[in-house]
Amino acid sequence: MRVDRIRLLIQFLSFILMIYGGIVLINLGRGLPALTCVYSKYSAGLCFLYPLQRFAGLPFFLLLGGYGILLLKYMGMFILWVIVLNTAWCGWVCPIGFLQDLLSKLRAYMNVDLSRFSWLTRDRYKSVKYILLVLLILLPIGIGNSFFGLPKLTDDLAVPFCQICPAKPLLPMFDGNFSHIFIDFSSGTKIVLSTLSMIILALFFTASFLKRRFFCSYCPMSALLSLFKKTSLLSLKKDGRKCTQCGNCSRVCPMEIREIADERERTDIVTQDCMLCMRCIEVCPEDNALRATFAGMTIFPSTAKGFLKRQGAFEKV
Amino acid sequence: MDCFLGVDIGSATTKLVVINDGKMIGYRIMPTGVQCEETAQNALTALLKELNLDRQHIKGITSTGYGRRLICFADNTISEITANVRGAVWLMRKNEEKVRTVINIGGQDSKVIAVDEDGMTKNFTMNDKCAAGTGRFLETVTRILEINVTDLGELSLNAGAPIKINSTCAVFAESEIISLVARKKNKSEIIAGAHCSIAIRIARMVKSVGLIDIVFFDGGPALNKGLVKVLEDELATDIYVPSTPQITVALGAALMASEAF
Amino acid sequence: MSEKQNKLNRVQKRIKRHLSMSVREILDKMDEDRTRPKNMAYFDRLFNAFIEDSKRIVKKENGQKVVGTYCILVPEELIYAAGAVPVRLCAGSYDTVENGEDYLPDISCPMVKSAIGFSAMPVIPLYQSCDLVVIPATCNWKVKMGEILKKFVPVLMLDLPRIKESENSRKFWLNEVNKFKQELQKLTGLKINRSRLRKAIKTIQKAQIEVRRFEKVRMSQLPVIQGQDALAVMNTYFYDHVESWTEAVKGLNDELEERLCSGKTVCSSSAPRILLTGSPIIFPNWKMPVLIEESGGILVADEFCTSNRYLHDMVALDELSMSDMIHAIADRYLLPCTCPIFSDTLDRRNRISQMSDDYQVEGVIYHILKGCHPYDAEMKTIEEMLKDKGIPQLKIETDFSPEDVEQIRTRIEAFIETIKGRRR
Repeated sequence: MRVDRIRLLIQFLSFILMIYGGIVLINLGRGLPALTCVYSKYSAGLCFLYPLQRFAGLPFFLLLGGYGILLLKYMGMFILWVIVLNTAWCGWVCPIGFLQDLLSKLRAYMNVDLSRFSWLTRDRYKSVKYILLVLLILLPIGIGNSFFGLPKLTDDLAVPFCQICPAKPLLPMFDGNFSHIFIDFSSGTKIVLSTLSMIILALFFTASFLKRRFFCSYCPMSALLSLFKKTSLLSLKKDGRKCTQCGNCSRVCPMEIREIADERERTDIVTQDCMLCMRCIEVCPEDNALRATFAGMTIFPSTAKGFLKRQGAFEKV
Repeated sequence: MDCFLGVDIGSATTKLVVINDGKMIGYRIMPTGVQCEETAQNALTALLKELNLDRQHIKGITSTGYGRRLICFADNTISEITANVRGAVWLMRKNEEKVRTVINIGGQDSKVIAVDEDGMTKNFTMNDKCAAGTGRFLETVTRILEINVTDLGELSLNAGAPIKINSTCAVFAESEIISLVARKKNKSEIIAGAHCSIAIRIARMVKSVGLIDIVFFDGGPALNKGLVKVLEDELATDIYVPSTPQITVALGAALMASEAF
Repeated sequence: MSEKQNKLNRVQKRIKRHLSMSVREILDKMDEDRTRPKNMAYFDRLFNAFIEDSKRIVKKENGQKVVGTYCILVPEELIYAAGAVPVRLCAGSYDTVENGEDYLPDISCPMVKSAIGFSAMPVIPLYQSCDLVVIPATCNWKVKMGEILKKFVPVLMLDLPRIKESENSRKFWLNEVNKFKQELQKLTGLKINRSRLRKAIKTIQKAQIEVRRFEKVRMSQLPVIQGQDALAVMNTYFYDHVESWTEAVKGLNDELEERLCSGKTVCSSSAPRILLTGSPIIFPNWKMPVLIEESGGILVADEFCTSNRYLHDMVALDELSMSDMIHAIADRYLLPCTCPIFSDTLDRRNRISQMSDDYQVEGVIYHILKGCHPYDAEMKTIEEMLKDKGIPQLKIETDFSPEDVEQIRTRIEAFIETIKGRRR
């Protein structure tokens, strides 16, 4: 089974859906666990981080009323999506993820060698996405409420993550809207934020070209999703005894997760970076060493035969 | 009358044991000599005559020992390790505690076998590469001291303190003993020293296999009371020796013949 | 001809005669066995070439370079991609060990001594006609062997990290593989480009497909092929050209799968199933598999670098750039290697544990060559792991000499009797 091709198709369809779905009035709600940007005119659903930041920016007392119930409704939807599909949202749906995968394919086609993090680098910056997640909740709270009698933060800091997220300048481009690619000189805060946004956009094109899914290591949505990975129905399991330590899985993993290969004791190996792209299962040459499971049932196991078929070893020379 | 025969063809002696209805009814021990087939046949004929049996009463024959394949009248063969364990476990069957370690010192090899709770071989180690720790070594000692093998036990029990013999190789130990005799050392003490050498060697083998009580000791040299005592001291435990230790292996083979029937 | 040369020739003839006798003994016994699969004839012919036509053991074209290897860590895909042909030279003959003892202490790896013996004297021309000999610096004896073999053939040593788990060691090995690639290109004058490398990887993968089929056959409860024959099949890969070998194994697999359907076995299905592990068994050092099967057991699996581990793990291609392919090759050769020269035993324990389940193994025989410390050192860990699974292990320490055959036979017989006894 060529999962990578199926995934590419689903990513493409999701991209079309998320960017243009609104044209045919598709509305998947405001609790999507992917960067389906609010700034896309016809988006079929909203990235949950946007309402999260918006609601966080409201004064506390408003949250105790109708707004709070609305927030709970979006959060409920979000949690439901996550319980069913876990971080597969990152690997199979997220439009930013899709664009990064396309950049990687372009790089491979141009025969440019890919770059990898050193182990130290990868380990050192693991916490960045969690820091961003905390900031994107705390900063808006500081706008709507005053901490310890200190003055409230400027309104310019509203939806702080959206202002630097690469989705904001990128995804509207597909509607023909290039208005988010600029530096906003209207205030000091805006200058900083929009400059950051441009820098991150530039980084997106260069770093994500050279390193697979560069941005995903720092994405706060990924951080939020990782909090639920143990409770989800979709999961990745490993049988440590069948593992021959060949290292194929870690080598092809776009997120460079070493634990897939190194872990021999635990069976559940969805780590904080994993986006369930299942490339690891595709290159595992041992039967049933790695398995994708849904509600405990195996839906895609690693097999020697499947491995060889995908490697093209069976084709006529 | 269903009888079963076990034949243990060792390097020095050939042993035959006949069992019937779960009891041992007769045995024979003869020097193997050069023609083991002939020796075994003669022993069988003599034993049958002694027990007043015919050949057709023997319903199954199992051979064991290093010459087990050299006789043609056996129905099957079994390794001496398995046979030894069977014989030892059967001999100790009425004992409250079970046999867990079997030590066998033969003419030209020695073995230590670990037995599990069900009376099956768990692990074993053999010394079949050199004469040290075997009956051959004791033969050498008797030759130099000009005594009989049967005197070894009693003489050594009279010893005050054993004289240490350093060489592990039987050939070099021979030279060492000759020089001790020349220096007019006490015979009993030399014999006790030789026994110590063997016991240390066996103890090393026991350690590699693991000592669990009860320890059972068989093979010709087990008749040597002096050797048994030194071995008990070396292993720091009591050792059970059957009344006819030379035939335990053949007995085990006979038991296996009855099971195969 | 000088007196010295004359003497050497006579010694050489003597060794050849002894080698011939050893090989003949094994082949004759194989011949007598009526239950052998017909397709084994191909592999027998290759071993026959040892004594009859040793010049033509290795099939090569005119001008093609021959690269001798001493270890499964040498990436053979690179050798094929450079237009050369790889030959595994790990040796199993007792008769050349004596020669090797001129250069190494008595208690040292018999395989190394035998290989040095072959290289020092033209008993089989193969050893001296290699254009390059590649030796990964695995154990102490191989490291010294490199230095000694330099006297007879051009040698390339590949340096090796002993602790696979660190990032530095993997980078180090990747560098060594790249260095090897450069040396090969210099040797053959042919550049290793992407399409040649891709083709080489695919060719070896085809052989690996047949090996996986072969493994599946041996996992079944019905013993349709003897362990000795299975070892012979894997051993001939050392010398044979990969494509013809693959074809031959394919034919054998077809015959064996048919036997599984028809139920034609080579021995009783109740023969105790044995797994052999430890220091490698190489033709004509055929003592162990023969004794196991003569004592009533069936050798269903092995964990030797000369057999099962040689072709089990596969190179996984991701992107088709040169650097990615080299990375994939470097990983495949280093990471799943369970050789005891590496610091951690966990992988080997897991491998043997998994194999015991897959092949329904009832007993493990741990084979240690005298002087082989790495395998000796891991014996107790493997024994503990097997004890937890309720599988007994027998340790056999020996060398290539035939002197201790009867002693080993007694031990193996007792072991097999123990297994049979436990079943009841």
